[in-house]
Amino acid sequence: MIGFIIRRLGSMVLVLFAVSVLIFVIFNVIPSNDPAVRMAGKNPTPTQIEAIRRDWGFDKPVTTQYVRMIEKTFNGELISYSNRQNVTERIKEGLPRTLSLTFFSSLFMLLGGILLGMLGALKPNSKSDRAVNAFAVTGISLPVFWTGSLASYYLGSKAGVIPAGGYVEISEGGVLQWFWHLLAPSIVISLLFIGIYSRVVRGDLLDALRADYVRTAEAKGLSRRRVVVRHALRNALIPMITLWGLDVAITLGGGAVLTETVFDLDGVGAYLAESVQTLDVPPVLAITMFGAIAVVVMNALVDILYAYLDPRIRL
Amino acid sequence: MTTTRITAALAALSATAVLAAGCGGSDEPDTSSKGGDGASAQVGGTFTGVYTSFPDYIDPALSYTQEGWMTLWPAYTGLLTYKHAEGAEGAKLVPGLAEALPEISDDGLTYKLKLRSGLKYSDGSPVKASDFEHTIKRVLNLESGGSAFYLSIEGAEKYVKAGKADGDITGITADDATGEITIKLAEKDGQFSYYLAMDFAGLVKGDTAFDNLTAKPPIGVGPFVISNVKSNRSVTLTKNVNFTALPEVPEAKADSITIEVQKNQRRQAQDIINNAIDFMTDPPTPDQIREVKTKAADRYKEEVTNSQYYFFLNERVAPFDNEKVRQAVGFAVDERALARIFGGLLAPSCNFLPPGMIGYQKVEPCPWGEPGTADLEKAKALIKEAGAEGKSVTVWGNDEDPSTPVVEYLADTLNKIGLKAKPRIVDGSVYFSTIGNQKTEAQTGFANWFQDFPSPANFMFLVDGKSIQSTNNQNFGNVDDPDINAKIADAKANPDIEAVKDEWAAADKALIEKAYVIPYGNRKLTKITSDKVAFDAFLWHPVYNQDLASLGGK
Amino acid sequence: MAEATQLAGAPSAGAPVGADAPPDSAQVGLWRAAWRAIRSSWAGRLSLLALIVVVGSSLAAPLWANHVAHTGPFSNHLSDQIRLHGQLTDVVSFDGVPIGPTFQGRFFLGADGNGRDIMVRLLYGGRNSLQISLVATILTLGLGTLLGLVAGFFRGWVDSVISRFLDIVQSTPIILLGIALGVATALGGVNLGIVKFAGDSLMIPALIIGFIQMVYVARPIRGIVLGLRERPFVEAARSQGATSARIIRREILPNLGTSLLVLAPIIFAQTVSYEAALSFLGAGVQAPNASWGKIISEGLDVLISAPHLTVIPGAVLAVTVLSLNLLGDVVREAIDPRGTVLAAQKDER
Repeated sequence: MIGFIIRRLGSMVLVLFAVSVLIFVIFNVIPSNDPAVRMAGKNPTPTQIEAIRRDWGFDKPVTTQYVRMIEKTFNGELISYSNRQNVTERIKEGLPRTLSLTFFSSLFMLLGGILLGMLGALKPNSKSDRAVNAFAVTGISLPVFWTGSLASYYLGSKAGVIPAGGYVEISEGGVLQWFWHLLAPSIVISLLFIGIYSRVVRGDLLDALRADYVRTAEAKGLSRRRVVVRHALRNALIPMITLWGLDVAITLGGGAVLTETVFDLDGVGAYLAESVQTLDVPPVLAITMFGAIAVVVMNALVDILYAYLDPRIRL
Repeated sequence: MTTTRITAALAALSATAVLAAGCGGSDEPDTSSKGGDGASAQVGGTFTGVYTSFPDYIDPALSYTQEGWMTLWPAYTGLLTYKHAEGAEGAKLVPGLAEALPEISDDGLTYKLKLRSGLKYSDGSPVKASDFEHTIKRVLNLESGGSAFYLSIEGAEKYVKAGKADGDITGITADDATGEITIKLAEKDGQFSYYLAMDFAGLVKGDTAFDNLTAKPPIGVGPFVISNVKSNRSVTLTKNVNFTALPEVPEAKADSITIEVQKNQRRQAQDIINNAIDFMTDPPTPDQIREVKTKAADRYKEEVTNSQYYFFLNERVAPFDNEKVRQAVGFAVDERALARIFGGLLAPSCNFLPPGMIGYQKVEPCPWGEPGTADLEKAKALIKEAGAEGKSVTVWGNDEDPSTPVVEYLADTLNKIGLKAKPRIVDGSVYFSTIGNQKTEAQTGFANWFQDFPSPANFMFLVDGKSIQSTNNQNFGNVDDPDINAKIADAKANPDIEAVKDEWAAADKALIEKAYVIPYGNRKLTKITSDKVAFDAFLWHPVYNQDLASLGGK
Repeated sequence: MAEATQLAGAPSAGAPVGADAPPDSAQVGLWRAAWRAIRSSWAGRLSLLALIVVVGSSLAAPLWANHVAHTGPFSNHLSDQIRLHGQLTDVVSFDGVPIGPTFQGRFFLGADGNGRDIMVRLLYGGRNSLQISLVATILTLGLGTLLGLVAGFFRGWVDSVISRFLDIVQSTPIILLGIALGVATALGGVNLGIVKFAGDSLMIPALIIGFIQMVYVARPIRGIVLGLRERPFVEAARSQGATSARIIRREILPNLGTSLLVLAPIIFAQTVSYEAALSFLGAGVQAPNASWGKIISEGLDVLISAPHLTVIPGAVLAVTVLSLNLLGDVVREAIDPRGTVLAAQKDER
């Protein structure tokens, strides 16, 4: 267990380092991207630019700038270049929104993926199996930004069936409104992943049902349901859980850029999109690091979940 | 992209739309306010407005956007300010917290002002003359985008270079006992009075911290207090109980105004039609403008802003170093076509100065055909004459609305007249520094300007040979005409703008006749309110757009 | 070749189909099996037909532009009028609302905000989308195979380095990575030493997408190579003193055919939708070029008055991706029914 934690921490540090360097370098090589000039306003004078360079450390060597930015990222003092807001504070503002979205979407994709996958695997090549497959392929193929925008306008603004977008806090509108505003975006995200997961689950479940231990269990006279749920499914879920863990982590770390934007959720992902558009390095760096941490932590959790699902695995 | 981008939303214009700016009827004292639509508003009430994006800062020292200025103006009055009125009247400099306009020495270097007595901040504490220096120090020390305006004060450069907040700006002296304030300039600047009226110089208390105070804005003097800021979500202004009307600054009509961020512009328009919000700061999208106009006809008005959209033509780079090629562009550009890209919210123009500006004299006849016409044949002939056929041209633009479609239009037009043009779109945040770098050698492209203060100087520096720089150049076309330079230098040195308006007009005309820039129009914005708002009394201000102090119920 | 086949011995019963079959016959067999599967299934035929229509019409873009619409993809018609049902109609109204579908030669599907013919732009845009995706797919498969092969074959520190690298790319939201790279390269272009691309070159999004997506190929390939190198025929070749290069060339590469054939359509589908997402966000193709994603993003601004600008390109995009995925399904079921090649994971939201 201790070895496991150390390995995980080691890889986390490595990933964080590489990701941050990558982002930092990308934004530093953009021509004419001098934050000092942009901060100096519409008609900057040399005195102003120089003062900004000095006070914000832009005159320091790039490596020093990088180290300082990383330090600030971790002690919460990172300040955006475009509106001098504290980046950590701003991420904290967006986090409940992104968390809520992640919560529902990951729930939908998990349940949807397992249910549809089981439906397909229990009666392979039946009508229901083919229907599930058709649904899955369609889900994978629809562009999120397109379905999202159309749903938000036609079902939201025009028909009024769902909210057109925005986020309602529980404290403002109650649990029901909160859920109601997250429903459409969560479905839009999860459609894609239900498509992927259901096929993964179907394949693995089919394999598991053919496996010896299942046959043995059946031979022992256990009920079909018990066999499927207790034995086969448990094993078949492992590959899917890996994928799911990564996807949840990426959504949490601001990966749902398109959905958050289309539905005006204004969470971490939307902040990320906004910051990239204004070439504002500090938030981009901080959010990417946050996302990378989420991925690593989630992967570790998934590994622990593995151990539960498959007792043969030792951490 | 659609939603995240700062959509300077396009909107549309019907045949019946009002073309002229600043013709609102609010100057005349109105007595017929009894039953509703009169020009005066009831006192009291709470109102809700929407922004499309949150202002950059809610701190007068730092904010440098239209939304920010509109929000801050009624809460931070400077020594000087603008009249709360529409049209040319509203562009007039008037004393704010000062007793009168500054007394300027003959050499134009010393400005003397006197603070009114008995002024109080919104927390009830007295306003002191020395707070002015603190206010300017904050702008400079925070390295605000506005610091350029105050660097001409003696000692300001030194203060910035020292980088110490508690340093001294030698050029500012103030006497708290008498309220006298003297400002000494290191170099003459005829426009300095305007700088004193900008939001940057809106007075804040002498102990205000040297920080971005957006989360808890500084204490100032004005009809409103910014009482609550939910960062990135909303701003609330409440009536300042410690404020009594000054000669040029009225008390607030409303008890409180909350402005919320609504990124979805379609929702904004729906909400205003349904009276769910009371005003919006951006125009509706072209998509909905017809609907808004029909469903809210009596509370909708289009206003021409003091802004200019133009194509720069780089005089230092072929083929635009040739006057004939520049003239060809003038003939080829169809302002009517461009207005459609703006959803009709563009008033075609041949001048470089906007029509609402003092010194504007319509260039008549327009040498390139009246705005809204194009003569491609003539343009082709000129290109042939200049021997520029098939010359490669890169047309620069950025990814913010409406730059991309405008640039795509220009590239296509240049191709039609015999050049070989290709658009080049770069990220909006680095666009101006890219084309403003001489190494880029940007041949032509998109440019626009919204005024900082209502003086021709604030537009003409964009074409002043003296403002050419190797980097961060704002004179994108490197316009450097001795005659125009001389006129600009002379006119901008004179603080009495009325006295030099003909000179400005002459510079404007020379600029157009030599086809140094190709202006094509002034941006129109919209004033839309809910039924509840006294529409005519809600002023459209030439500098701040919506005058929140005048917002009130019928 | 023959030697290797003999040494490989008979495939063991539980081995994944394809992976252990003798290389030479496998190559021919794979393609034939895939083709037979496509021909014999309803979904296969339909999606192949749809793809042929999409690709064919994109290729025919200049024909349509020159002979039917009589206008190019970049031609603005902002202040033009056309005759519609006998009367002159503005292509773009005063207030910026473009004309809807006319179902005539000119402006068959209407115009966009700049008065450009949407049908022409859609066809040319499809060309760009497909061209970028094709290059990106080839790049993805090439790079991914290379990395997966090297990592899986040499294992040890090489594998560690490559795997960590893949971890890194995978733990960054790929949309963000795409936007960041897109924005950075749009300004300065890309200089690879041998080749140089200007900022508005279509090859830039192709490079970016190819680079980012390679993770989804490298991982499965690595896994398969790890398995292959333990197989008896590889052991045998090694014991006979074959060099690594020879083993890779003779024993490993031929056995990756199944995986690549299964992955190709899925990766292509993914690439098409990823390109659309990037262009939608403004980090893909650069003006004045169009692509499906870009036309959709332009169309969304006028969704109420001109819904066709959003709906039509989106539908074409969805049909293309759907067909590719269906085709991928059919092929996979035929040549890899056990799903050994894990459906490459998609991360575009």
